[in-house]
Amino acid sequence: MNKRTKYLVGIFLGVILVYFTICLGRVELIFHTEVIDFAAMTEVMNIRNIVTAIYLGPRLFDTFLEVIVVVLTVFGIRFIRDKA
Amino acid sequence: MLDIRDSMILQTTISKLFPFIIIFSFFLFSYGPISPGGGFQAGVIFGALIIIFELCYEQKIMCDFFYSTIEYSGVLVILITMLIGLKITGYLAGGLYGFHTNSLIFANFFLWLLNFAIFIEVASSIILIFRNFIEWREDE
Repeated sequence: MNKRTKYLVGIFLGVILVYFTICLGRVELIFHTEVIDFAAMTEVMNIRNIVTAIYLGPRLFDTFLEVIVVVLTVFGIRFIRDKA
Repeated sequence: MLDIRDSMILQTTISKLFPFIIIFSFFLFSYGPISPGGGFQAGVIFGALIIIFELCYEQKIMCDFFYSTIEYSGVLVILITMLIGLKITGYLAGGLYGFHTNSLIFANFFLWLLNFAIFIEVASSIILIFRNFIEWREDE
């Protein structure tokens, strides 16, 4: 990395820092009531782990797609190996 | 050439800790609904254990077809449960949350089944990914 690039990266990071400092001053803190809903959901499911309640509950479709990603990885590696 | 089996650390890890790591991975997916853990973590731990074993002893535990079958079985279990949920509730990921029991492991049988399916799928995939990255002597 040459000197000019270093200066540009420094200026870029400085601008970002100033931007966030100004923006964070106007941030309004909001209490999320969804946490109470998720706690109720664990009671309905008869489990204690709220993380499981979310990723196997409302986000089950997302979890399924993650599983498909892993399967596709195996396919991809096999494909590349066969081509090599 | 240094024989990897001469290493006391690896010998201890594999011979002494092997059953405990398997039990720990089963514990992680079984007790996922009531404590931190789940199918993904348990699958990675189990898969990593098989990989370490295969690396150290330079032999395959079961053939690729076996792991592929288990991998697809895991996906199939998730798909079937999702389709049954669609039939019951009308939503693809909608149903089967009502099978409650008093036991800790099967507090919710549907979630246990999903964790199990994810566990076998991830474990098999990790092993297959590893096997496709290396070349065995009999393949040459």
